[in-house]
Amino acid sequence: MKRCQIKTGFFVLKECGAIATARCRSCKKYVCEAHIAEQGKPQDDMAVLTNTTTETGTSSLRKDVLCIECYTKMNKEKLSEKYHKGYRSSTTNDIFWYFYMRDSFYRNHHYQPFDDYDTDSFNTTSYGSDFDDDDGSASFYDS
Amino acid sequence: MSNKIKGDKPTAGLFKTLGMLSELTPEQQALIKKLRIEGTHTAEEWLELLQEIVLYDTNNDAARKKLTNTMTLTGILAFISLFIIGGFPPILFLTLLLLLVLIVAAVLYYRLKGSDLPNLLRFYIFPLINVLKEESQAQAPLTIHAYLGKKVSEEFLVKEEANSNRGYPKVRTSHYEVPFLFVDTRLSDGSLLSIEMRDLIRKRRITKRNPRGKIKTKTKYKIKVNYEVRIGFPKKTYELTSTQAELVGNVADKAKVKFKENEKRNILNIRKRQIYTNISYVPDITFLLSVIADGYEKMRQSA
Repeated sequence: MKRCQIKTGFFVLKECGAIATARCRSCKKYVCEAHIAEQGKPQDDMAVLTNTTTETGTSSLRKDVLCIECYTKMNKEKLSEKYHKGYRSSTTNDIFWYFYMRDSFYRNHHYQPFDDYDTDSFNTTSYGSDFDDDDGSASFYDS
Repeated sequence: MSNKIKGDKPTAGLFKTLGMLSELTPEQQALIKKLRIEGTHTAEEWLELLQEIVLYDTNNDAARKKLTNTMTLTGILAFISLFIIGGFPPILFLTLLLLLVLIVAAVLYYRLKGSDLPNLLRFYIFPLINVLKEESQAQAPLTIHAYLGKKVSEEFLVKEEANSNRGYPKVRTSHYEVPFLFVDTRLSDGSLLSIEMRDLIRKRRITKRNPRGKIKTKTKYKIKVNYEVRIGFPKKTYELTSTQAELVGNVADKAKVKFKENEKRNILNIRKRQIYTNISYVPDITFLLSVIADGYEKMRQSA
């Protein structure tokens, strides 16, 4: 089973990891449903499907899609026009704004985010125990 | 189904917008009434709670804009029709009809105005939660205390003074301090993040007399938005890029940095300020993100 390879997060980037349903036609990354930005009109099923072997057998991935990262890079002007005043959507998850803003922020502020490829210490599975072990707010807030 | 770029154009009509308010949950209605957001939920839960309110507010703003246009148009037509009545009496019926529309529009406008929320929610807090959702674990608690009400009010008045001039110009200066946003959460890298934003508002009411003897009053605002961002970086993940002495103090971009540490964390306290002159300003979210990024830039991965 392929997992979504789109990087989420702002200060620390990490792979989305959701089950991929497509593969970006531009960067060839595996993409989940939430990170598909644009979908081409398939001419025939065979042209847009690629087979991938999963743990449970073979499943099909759509190929004629553009991931959100590529879409953001290719449509800077269009997105800039929409979001030049900031967030202007009433939807809960305007990923176009998020990826556009993140991309512009990195460029304008010359910011290099941490990447989970860089480090093994962003071990998210240890989150629960880490939270419990911490002496929490007292250590954080005492002044 | 792929995502589509959605505009922020409201879809509900006037009466549907009025109905939307009653369809909100008691918690959502209480939030609109109190103009305060308070509590601890996950980012996803916050978005779910606020989504309907944001949608309602978007439609409310659009409906009021339409009502303003209607009131202007009917007002002008009613005024013109008053001059025609003398020559053509049956026009009186039309005048009365226009006045009726004007009154109904005004009533609806003020009804909607009563449940309007400042754009701080739609254009700042809501997208900020979106960013924090991507930055934290799904079940991470996110505490938010936000004040959405009127900032220039007695509740926040700190000091008031008038100039000693007996004549003109008369200047009355009022200072307000408004803590309007507090956010606290744990990020997915284990860092603890706390954001506090407060407005220091100076209101100057200046009364002048021009050479023709006419008295005019102007009100000017200067708002200093103070950001205080505290980030507790886990030592097992991060270490400082420079010595503590190099880290603290005033840096070139006017941020003030303080450093503390305990057994598990390096804690950075970063203060920065932004200035606005419009009382209805909505802060720039990238400014806040740049303050947090300042903290991250002072860290590197632990060896």
